[in-house]
Amino acid sequence: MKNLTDAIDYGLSRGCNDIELYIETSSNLELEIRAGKLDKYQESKAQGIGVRVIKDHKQSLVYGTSDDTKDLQKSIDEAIEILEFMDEDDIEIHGDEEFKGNIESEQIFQASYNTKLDYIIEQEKNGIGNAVTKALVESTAYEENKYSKQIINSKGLNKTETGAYCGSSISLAINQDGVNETGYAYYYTRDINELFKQDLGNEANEKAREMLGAGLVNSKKYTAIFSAEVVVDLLRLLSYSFNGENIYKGKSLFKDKIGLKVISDKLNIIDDGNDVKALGFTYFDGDGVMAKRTPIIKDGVFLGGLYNLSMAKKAGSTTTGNATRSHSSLPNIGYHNLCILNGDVDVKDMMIELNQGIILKELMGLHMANPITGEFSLGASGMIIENGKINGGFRGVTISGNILDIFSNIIAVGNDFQRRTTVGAPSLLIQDVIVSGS
Amino acid sequence: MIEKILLEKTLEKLTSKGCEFADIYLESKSTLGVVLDNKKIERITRGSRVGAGLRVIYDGRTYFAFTEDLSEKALFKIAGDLANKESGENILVKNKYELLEGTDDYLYNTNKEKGSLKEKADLLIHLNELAWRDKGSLIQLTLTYGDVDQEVYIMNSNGVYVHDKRPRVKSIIQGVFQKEKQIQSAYDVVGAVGDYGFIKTRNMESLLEGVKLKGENLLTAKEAPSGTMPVIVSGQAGGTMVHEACGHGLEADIVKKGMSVYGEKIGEKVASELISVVDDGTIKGRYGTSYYDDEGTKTKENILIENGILKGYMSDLQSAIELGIEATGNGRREGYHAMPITRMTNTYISKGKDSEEDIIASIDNGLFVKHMGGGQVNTATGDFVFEVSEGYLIKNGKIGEQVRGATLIGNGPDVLNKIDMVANDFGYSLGTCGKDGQGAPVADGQPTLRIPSLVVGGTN
Repeated sequence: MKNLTDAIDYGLSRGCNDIELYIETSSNLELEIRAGKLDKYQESKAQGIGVRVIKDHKQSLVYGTSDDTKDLQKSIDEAIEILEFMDEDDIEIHGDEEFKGNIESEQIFQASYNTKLDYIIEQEKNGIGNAVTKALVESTAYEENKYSKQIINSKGLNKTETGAYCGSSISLAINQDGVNETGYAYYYTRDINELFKQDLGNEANEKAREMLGAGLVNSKKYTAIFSAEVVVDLLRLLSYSFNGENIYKGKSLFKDKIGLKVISDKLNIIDDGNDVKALGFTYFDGDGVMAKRTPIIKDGVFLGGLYNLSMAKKAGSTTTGNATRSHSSLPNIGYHNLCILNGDVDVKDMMIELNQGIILKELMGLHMANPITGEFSLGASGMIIENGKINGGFRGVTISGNILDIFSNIIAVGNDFQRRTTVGAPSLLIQDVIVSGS
Repeated sequence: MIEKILLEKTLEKLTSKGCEFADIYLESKSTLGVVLDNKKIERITRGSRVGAGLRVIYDGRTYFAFTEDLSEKALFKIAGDLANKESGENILVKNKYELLEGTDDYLYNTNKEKGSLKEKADLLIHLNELAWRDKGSLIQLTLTYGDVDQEVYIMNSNGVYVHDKRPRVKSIIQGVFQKEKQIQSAYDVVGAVGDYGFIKTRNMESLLEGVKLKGENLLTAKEAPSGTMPVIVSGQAGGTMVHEACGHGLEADIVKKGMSVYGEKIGEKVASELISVVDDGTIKGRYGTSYYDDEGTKTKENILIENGILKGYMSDLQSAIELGIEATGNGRREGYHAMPITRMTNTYISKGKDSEEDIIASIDNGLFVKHMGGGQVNTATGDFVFEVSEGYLIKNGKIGEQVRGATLIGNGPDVLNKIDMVANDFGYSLGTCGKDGQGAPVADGQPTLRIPSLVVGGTN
């Protein structure tokens, strides 16, 4: 601790207005099995320290791995040298608050090594399945991570948080007549007992099995059920437009749209930084500001974007506690737990209402979509619905359109809200979905 | 970073319980990133990391750990812990370690020109001023410059002890354009294994002009068609297609798990006889190049597909043993914190004999892909997608109107078999390939190709 305060004093003595240090540590365990036996074992401890220097409305960042006083002083010297080349900017830092908190997750480390190994061995067994055609499991993995983050600055801010999370994933393929169909399932949480309840092996196996014999579907506009996993992918794409920096720089679909209806009035979107049980929960954001619950879209109307301190100052707004940061970056803007709130329609009822159509189960190439224009064209696979019932699968086609149109053409919102990482959503029934196939 | 004797002693500890293989990967990496956005130098970030990754293998089972504490005490503790995870019967030969140095031959600019921070910042400031002088429909411009100095030492129980330096440099231009309600974005990138001197040899002003032109044209482009049609992928389009359609499926770690459509097919016809595919980590200055791979294996030219026949896979050390093949210099890792896996380096489809003009003239109705963006593949099914960042309709053998917003989807072996014309031109693109959560710098290339039918996913 003294090395940190010494470094801050050193920076001030060199004429800086403010010095802020961001220190991260993590220890990690990863297990991967194949054919019932351990294949890979990884353990690690890592540390990173970012030194943020502020002087005359300019800032810079230098990061390293050592918290040695000499190394920190060297980082500060380097950061000061960089300042000369920076342009002036609105910079705001938080101050005068102390906090120390742990996010309950100890049960991860109370569970024995063998319990964790047994869990993934069981998942692999379920993944292989007992059907005539057995699945080939590519990998089954478990990982856990224990971390701490500390932010300390010359304005009297000193906050520390510790926590942990764990997760598991399985990927497999089933071969029929020389053609592979694949299935993948994952789950990440702070509560290891929640993880142990997940039957990821069966889920992945079922995903591959129901795709057997899949082919193309015809090119046309479909009414489609977007499964919760696919909605989560599209919500991630839309989240670019919630970012206050993108709004400020004209890169958001919601620039100048506060108070206006931007998508279907059936949709409500929030960023929930207060849900203690959620994976993205944190006591404070990358500025050291308390995280909170921020409604972003209410009944289709855009209420406002997500901000950190500096961007809020620039944009004449207030911070929403959404600074994201690592030791190697200045505060950016991101979400904690982004959700489309649950609806009340059963997916089974959606299928009956739909009668003829498709269910989108997986998208491919999401990083290719353009979040600035909202335009996307992605690989897609899923199930065909005929007379309200599933009748085989399809893959090798694309769906395309604009993300705003997709989220505007909502017929119904499912009641099957699902969250496997930091983004959650229910299934959606959507009309006028452009599919290119045969 | 660490004395040879300490590396040897650490390796001795790692191998003390009869493992079949062990290695130490020592890395130091320093980075510089400069971002000019919203008409300001918004971010300059410097950083450095030094660490070691230690690995021991018993009967195919891998135990791995890394540390940033390079003291004797820390290294011995980790090596001892890893060795004690199991015990084996293997008796390893005692090696006499002689350091082999990677040479500078593969760097783009062997004359070394690191450049000052001022020069780099001034370059971005100059480009920014130029861009806004005659701004057209430009509403936002992001310019980034980044360089990385990576230095590695690798020592393993097979007697390998190498040292390799890989400076890399990259600059990206990204613009957002608006005309009335229509918004479009365009970008371009240059990069190499080399330093700032490489950027100085590039005409960055014309790169910027290219991005602006692309953006302006996209604003008036029509929506791309959808459905199945003939597609020509230009020799200037980059190499995303070869990377996704067969590159990943030819990586030995995927093949050994039975997750590749190209598995167990060596010697078989997997593509049109017009198609030869090569991965070559030795091409001077290319973004995927290094002298040694991250396991200390010398990189080389590897012929993967020759005239349609599958000749071999790319491999890391461990996958090579499991498949009974040679390691090919494709064991790569993001850094000391990650285990090596099979990765591509610079991958390309070799030139053919047709001319680009003849190929274009041969199509009545189709799509001409001038530039590709990103892509993705499912190696087990062979399905892959890639993005068209610049595309045109072909009508009656001529390139016509520009179209926007299309992704193409196909199945790797199916598409490679269908290709029926290959031109004698050639072009590369560079990128960062993601696999198992690790990023790796790669380059990909191809000549102009004709695919008689492919699913085009447009919005019209």
